[in-house]
Amino acid sequence: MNEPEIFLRYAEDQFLHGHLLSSWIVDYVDLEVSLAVGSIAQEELAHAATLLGLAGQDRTDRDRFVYERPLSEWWPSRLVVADDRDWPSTVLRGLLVASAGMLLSRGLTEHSDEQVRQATSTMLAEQELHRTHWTSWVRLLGGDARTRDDFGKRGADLLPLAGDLFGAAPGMPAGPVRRRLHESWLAELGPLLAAADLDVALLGAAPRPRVAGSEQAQLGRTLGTVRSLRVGPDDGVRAVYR
Amino acid sequence: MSATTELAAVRAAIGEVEDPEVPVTLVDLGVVRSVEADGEQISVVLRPTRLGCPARDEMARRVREAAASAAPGVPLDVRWEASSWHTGDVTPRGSKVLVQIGYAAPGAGSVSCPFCDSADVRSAGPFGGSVCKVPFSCRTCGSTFDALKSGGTVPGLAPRNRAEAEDRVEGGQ
Ligand SMILES: [Zn+2]
Repeated sequence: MNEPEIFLRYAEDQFLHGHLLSSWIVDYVDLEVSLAVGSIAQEELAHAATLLGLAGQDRTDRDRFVYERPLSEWWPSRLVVADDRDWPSTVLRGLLVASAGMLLSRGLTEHSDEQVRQATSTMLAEQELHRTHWTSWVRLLGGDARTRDDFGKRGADLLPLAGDLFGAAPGMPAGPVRRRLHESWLAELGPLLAAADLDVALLGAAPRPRVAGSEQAQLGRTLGTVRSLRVGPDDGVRAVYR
Repeated sequence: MSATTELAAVRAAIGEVEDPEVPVTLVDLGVVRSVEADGEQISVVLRPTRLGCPARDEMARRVREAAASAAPGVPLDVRWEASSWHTGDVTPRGSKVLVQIGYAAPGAGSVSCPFCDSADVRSAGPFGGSVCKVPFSCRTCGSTFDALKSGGTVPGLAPRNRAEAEDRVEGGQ
């Protein structure tokens, strides 16, 4: 696999998912939910920053990566661009992102560079806690007669979007490693999804290629919100906080 | 002044730097990993309790400020390493202060109440008011308290209470 490319795509997905989840910190539902989802959001944003560091970016590069890069240079998974914010979609997307992230992190814990090994081992441990949390919720929503049907409907919409989590951007090598990761992911998630009446086959038998951010309309809206903080000359928001 | 001659003074100054949230030094928390002379500069390595710890900038700022006041003009490099911090990294002195201010003793085999020492405690889930903490309550004295967490593991309950917590999760929280 092309490593800088893996770090950048993985960072984009972690950033966008962390951003989506962060709305649960203020959309108050239940204290435990807000604390859990808020913590996961915060850790995924930190994982994005850590991955950009592994790709050789410093703070200035990171800023440019999020706030200035044109949409045509983003290649995030469709899953984290879709901004369905209902709870069943949030739960399922959380599980998909955490479980795929763990496979990517685990694959990098054997890396020849010590910094990569350390960072991905730390991420892997933190992600395990996230996956455990989402797994409990998937069992709950998929196992209760009151929520099972709705969960199944949301899942049928969301699962096909997740098929590109291990996918390559066009022009990047698809490679057997991506395919193996995708297959491990299907094997790992299969029983849990089946128990919730969700069809793991909707994820596809092989990774689906990614598409550019400029072809994903919702990404423009999401980044528009993110970037609306940067108003005024010389980065207005920083002037407020410094 | 050189990095080597100033090293002891810089170490002493950094040794006094406290965490922004709890009155424990960053050395006692296990966040300061090393302070070494590296050619012309002094290199400091820090390890965050969680990668997403929001106090990282403030910790690094305090470390820089302490080093600069002890050895003005000596170049300083402060670097965060992305290694896993563990509750066992807290020194015995740090642990004592944490218990005094109402945290469970870090690094112990199982969580007990910092107020009455009872092991009959209840976990209130793996996520707390900040990313490094998990909430508990004590059945003996009724207090609520936090424990620090490491990586993917939440500090353990004594076996009897653990079985009960697992039942609760399986039954849907
Ligand atoms: Zn007590």
